[in-house]
Amino acid sequence: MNNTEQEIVRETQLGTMPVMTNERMYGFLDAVLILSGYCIATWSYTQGAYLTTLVGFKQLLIGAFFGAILMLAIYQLPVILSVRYGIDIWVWLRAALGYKGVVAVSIAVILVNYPWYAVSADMFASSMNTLAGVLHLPQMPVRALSLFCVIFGSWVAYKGLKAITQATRILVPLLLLVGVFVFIAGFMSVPADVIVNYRPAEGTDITKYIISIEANFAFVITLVGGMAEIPRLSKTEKGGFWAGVLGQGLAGSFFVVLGAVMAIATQYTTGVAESDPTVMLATLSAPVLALCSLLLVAFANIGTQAVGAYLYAVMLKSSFKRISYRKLVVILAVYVGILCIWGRITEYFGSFLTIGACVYAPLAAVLFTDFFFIRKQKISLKDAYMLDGHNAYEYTKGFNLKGIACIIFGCIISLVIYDPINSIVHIPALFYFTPTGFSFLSTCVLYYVLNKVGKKR
Amino acid sequence: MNEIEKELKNRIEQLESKNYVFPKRFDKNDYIITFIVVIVCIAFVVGGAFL
Repeated sequence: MNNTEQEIVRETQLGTMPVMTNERMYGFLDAVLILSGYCIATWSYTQGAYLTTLVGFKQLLIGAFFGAILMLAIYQLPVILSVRYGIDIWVWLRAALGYKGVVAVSIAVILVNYPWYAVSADMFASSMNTLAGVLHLPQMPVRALSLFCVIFGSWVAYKGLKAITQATRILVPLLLLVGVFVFIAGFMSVPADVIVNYRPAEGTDITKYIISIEANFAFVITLVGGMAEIPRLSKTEKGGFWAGVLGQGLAGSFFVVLGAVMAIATQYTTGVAESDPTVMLATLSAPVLALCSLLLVAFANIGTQAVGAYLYAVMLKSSFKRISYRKLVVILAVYVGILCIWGRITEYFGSFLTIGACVYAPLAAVLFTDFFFIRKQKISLKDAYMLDGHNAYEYTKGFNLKGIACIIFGCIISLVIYDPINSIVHIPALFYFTPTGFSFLSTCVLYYVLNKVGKKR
Repeated sequence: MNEIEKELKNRIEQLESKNYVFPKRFDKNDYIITFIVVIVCIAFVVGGAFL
């Protein structure tokens, strides 16, 4: 393969060049493994432990599986455009938001979403130190361990898709296997009815149940920005779509439930509500199983870092096509690295998550409505890629004000319904739809109405 | 025009041609299955509120 051909392959797999049908590399199984590997991280356990503070075990199961799959099956439907044309959703979004609108929104999504990876690195450091404690080894500096996680994960992403695919083919089945063992260990460490009939000590009510559903919606919708990078390499539209839905909705949710089981069992055994999975595992599992589990949980964070770096570097390529994929991976690693060195991201993470969750629902709504109801699954690729003489999506100085207005509207409406920082419900009637759910629905309606007024491009 | 831009233009022309074979489409049955999944999920989520 000569240099030009290699560059084309790079631009196809790691850039924005459309992937042709004969270049597709993922069947359903590989795609679901990669997306499962991305979703399985320590934060799944943390989410499970958080849900136990809101609802009983049966409601938690419903929210984690049915709530998650409900949101995923709706908002991820537009990934079929990515499979069909082999393009990222951000290329399509140029039609909905304008060329510069995509740049602005994608940077906003990176800024509010990428701190997730600093939290993941922080959790890796915590896991490794718990592991060191179990082995009676000295504790290591948290910042150094966090940076190791970022550098190792980014290095895998830097190597490209082959390294990511090989890593997830090994890691994900092992993680699922360990998950099953840990699930059994959790149930065997306490009487089963303690878990099955669990209810939070403070009780639960309809508001807490809705907050738990909202937490599941918000948890799964965070992938919206990077949801197309793997499906665009998939061989069928059905495979690409269900890989995203099931990778997150089944594999990811299984680990959320696992976190809940471990939190309930640890609380029953020690009397302390624990949210750190490594402490839970060290407390509840047999020593050998605990060691293996801890090690795998720790390395799951590196897998997440690797897939995340790939997804978001490719996403940024849509906005910064002249910067190489590898440079973007390094830029993202530097951003996360700085957050790790700062060392207080976990403390402020609630605020990051809250702000971020407001952006994802309207973004997903604009894409959904644009794809199915406005452009009806057809786009001018020449205009989307700004080929010579094709600039229909320039709109107003690069921004489609209708699309941008809808994103802002969706952000505001979710905060008007519910204040997540102070946990205050402002509009009870709309809160029943959940803030993310109502923001999605109302943004869909607004975007549709605005586009029925005036000329369509 | 560099090689990458030429290749991009070539690929877009192929994608917009009538002869291009797209990956297997998400067909009517797939939409029906997705719709059923959504309805079942809504039923469970709503029902969960009464547990």
